[in-house]
Amino acid sequence: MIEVDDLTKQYGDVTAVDAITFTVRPGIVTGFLGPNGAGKSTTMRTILGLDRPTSGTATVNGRAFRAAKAPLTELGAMLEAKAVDKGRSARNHLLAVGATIGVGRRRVDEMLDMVGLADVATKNAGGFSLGMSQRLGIATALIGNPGVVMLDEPVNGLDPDGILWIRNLLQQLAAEGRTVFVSSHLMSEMELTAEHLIVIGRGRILADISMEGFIAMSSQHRVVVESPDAQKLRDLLVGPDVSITSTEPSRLEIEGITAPHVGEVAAANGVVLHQLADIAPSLEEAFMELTADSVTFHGSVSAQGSAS
Amino acid sequence: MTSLTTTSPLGSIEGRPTSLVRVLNSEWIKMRTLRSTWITLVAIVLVIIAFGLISAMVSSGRISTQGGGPPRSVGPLSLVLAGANLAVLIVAVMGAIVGAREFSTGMIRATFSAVPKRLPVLWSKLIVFTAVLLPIVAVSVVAVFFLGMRVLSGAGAASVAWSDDGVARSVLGTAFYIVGLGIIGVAIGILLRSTAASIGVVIGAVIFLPALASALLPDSWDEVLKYLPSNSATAFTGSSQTGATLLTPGTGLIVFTAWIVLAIVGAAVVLTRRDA
Repeated sequence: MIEVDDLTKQYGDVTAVDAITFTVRPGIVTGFLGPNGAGKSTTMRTILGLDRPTSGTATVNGRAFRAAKAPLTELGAMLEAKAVDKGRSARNHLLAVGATIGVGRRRVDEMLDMVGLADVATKNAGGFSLGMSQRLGIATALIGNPGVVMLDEPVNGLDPDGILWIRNLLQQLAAEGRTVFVSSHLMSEMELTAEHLIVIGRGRILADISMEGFIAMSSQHRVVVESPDAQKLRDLLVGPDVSITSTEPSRLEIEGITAPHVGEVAAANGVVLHQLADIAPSLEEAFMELTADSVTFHGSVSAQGSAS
Repeated sequence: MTSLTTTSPLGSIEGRPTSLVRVLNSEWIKMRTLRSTWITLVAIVLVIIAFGLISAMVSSGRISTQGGGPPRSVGPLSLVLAGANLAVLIVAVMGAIVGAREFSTGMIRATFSAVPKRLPVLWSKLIVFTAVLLPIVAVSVVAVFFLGMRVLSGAGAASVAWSDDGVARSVLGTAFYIVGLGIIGVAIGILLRSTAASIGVVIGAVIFLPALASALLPDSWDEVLKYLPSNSATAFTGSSQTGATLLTPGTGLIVFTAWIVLAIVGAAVVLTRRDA
């Protein structure tokens, strides 16, 4: 369990994170979503104790991470794949990290096997590709069998196989009852991995909601219809709250009415339909909509703030 | 989280509490798994012994002045310890790299994720550095003393014995000075977090600046300058007292030790307060 309470972090004049509060619960994958520079890494660095909060608190399993007795067994984190010494082999890197909780070569080799680096275990980490560094970072995070796992952009640099692997791994870890907190700016990836979402924009929490809830919250549901008589259907459906666009003569994209309603209107007027589909917005669209709003909202707030 | 199933992809290990001993082990692994550590240690031993012997051989039969380094009386002892002056630079640079390297590579984030209390990392780095360097430097310095004196007396040149007044103190004091400057280097490396900047500061400010200042400033400044790190060390590494410009050996030892403690305290304060 990770609890962040009224956390603010300023670097000089810049407020990276602005009074955010949220809880990351065990048993599910929680996605931490936001554009670049939104405050994701700052939040994670503060949870990990790398940065001191300007105000507010961040706790892991109910206490500051600094106070953990065996830190790596409580929280395993990867913030940057390249946080290794280039002159040291992958195995020696893991041996050095593992030594802080008294685990040795057997555990290290187990982790190298798990992340698929056994063949390059004795090679210097400096020669690793981004994908291999990412795997080493994940092995470093998980070496202590931690109950809480926190990864910043873990799919960066991974090939499709690697992406599938990390997705399955994270879901498995969550299913075991662990707390899994993963950041990404790739909304399509989050959609496949996370069950719960925390969305951050400009240092503020924009949404703390289940994945379904997040998508449903978007207004961009639309209905796609294909009909040889599209023009007639268009005239029948047109109204003040309805917006209809058409990319091909036989195809309409409608916002503002539900699919059953379109079907009923078509049947009542004898219009033939070849296709009728309700299209839920992708997470990407929902995300863009939300963050676009937040930019406007944030701008007006800071304008008031500076006036007072 | 104690009831995780054994089929977990992470296995079923349970880590043990992180203690100073475990962090020490971690830092020892870090130090011994870098090839540069071994290259540097070999270089230190070679420089101390080879330069001392060469110096003794070249100069046997006459006393010549050796340039460079802090002012000291030139005698048999200074001859055989000629390599130690160069070793000071190597050890100080090694210390600066030990202190700054993890910040330059980003490794410090992995280190602090494993030891978020941070201070055990500082203590462990200092202990491992000292435990590795002190025996190696001390043995090299003592070895070159006996080998060098044999060369000098074999050639009929003036030599001193281990039991002579102040000789043992100077030889062991030289080892302490070399390692002490290395420790100051570690602390400065942690303070500055950049290997290049730390090397520059350690060599420039700690080793060369005092010598330069005493050469350029009027004599009235000597009362202050003798408290600088390298000058205070010369008080106990020199083979004999050279007058009012130096502290007594005992005071010099205390002052130099105080510089080491000051550097460590500075590193400790900054390490715990600064964002990593």
